[in-house]
Amino acid sequence: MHIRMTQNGNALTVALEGRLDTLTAPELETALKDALEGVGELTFDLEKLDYISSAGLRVLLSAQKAMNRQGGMKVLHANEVVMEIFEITAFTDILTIE
Amino acid sequence: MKTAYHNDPAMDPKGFVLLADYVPQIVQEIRYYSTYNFIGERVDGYEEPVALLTAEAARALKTVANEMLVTGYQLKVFDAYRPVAAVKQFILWGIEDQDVRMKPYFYPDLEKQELFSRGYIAKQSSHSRGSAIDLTLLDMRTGKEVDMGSPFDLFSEVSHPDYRGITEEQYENRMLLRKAMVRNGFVPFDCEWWHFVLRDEPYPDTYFAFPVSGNYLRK
Repeated sequence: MHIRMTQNGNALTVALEGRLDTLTAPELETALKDALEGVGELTFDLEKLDYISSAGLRVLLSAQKAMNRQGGMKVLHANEVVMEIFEITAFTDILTIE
Repeated sequence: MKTAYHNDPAMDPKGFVLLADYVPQIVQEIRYYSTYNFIGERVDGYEEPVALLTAEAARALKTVANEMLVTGYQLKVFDAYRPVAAVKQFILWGIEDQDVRMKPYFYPDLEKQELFSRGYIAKQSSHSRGSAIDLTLLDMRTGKEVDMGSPFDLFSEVSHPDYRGITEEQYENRMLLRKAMVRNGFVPFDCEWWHFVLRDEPYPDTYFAFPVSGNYLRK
């Protein structure tokens, strides 16, 4: 999985490419640990994300919890497959999806 | 003394019966009580290897059973009422990517997550409304399940009732079951030859949460 981070002031965009699953989720978790410091607005761009499993949802939930304390978070451009997972797990209630 | 259900209608089994009490000749192989299922473990909510159903659905199934008996077939039930907890476990299992131990037997051609988009696993199941049933026919002459061209819970195009890549005989067997069920008030499902729902469900909007347990019914 590819992670591309773009910072603009206190706004951070994280674009993901590939699969966010048991094997790749720890990589994202590690990358976010330091990257979220001082961030007020976090955006996940999922345009190139093919697949998300429960391991990936866990990392997103973790990020959402962190951002609830320090600002806001949104999720953009999820494809049909990923959106279905968000809906079926009711993550649509937890995340701000645009 | 009836247990109070804390005003939660989803926990009230009032309209449900033990299928074996209504249809004594029914053969049961409750797969989600066993570990021989697409998950590979006993499913949440299945406390006994019994089939529970609404009285209305059980009554309709009794007529099917009596009809099929005349021509030498028994009904074999794999699943009937399915608690909401079981459906939740299906979803959690579906979004997890490592455990594919039962893939060769139940979903050889699909990724786990495709089971959602293809209609095999849903957020809410008709089984939780209490009037849906998964079943096949057992030929009394041989003591074996009738060959339907694919086994129960094989999540594949092959299991679509109108799939024509099976033999003529297998297709006719599917239609034999389907016709008897439809004649007696059940609606078939286009993805699974084994799944039927009572057309006039008594609880069309309730997704029940009590366990699959004869004991619970008796409380």
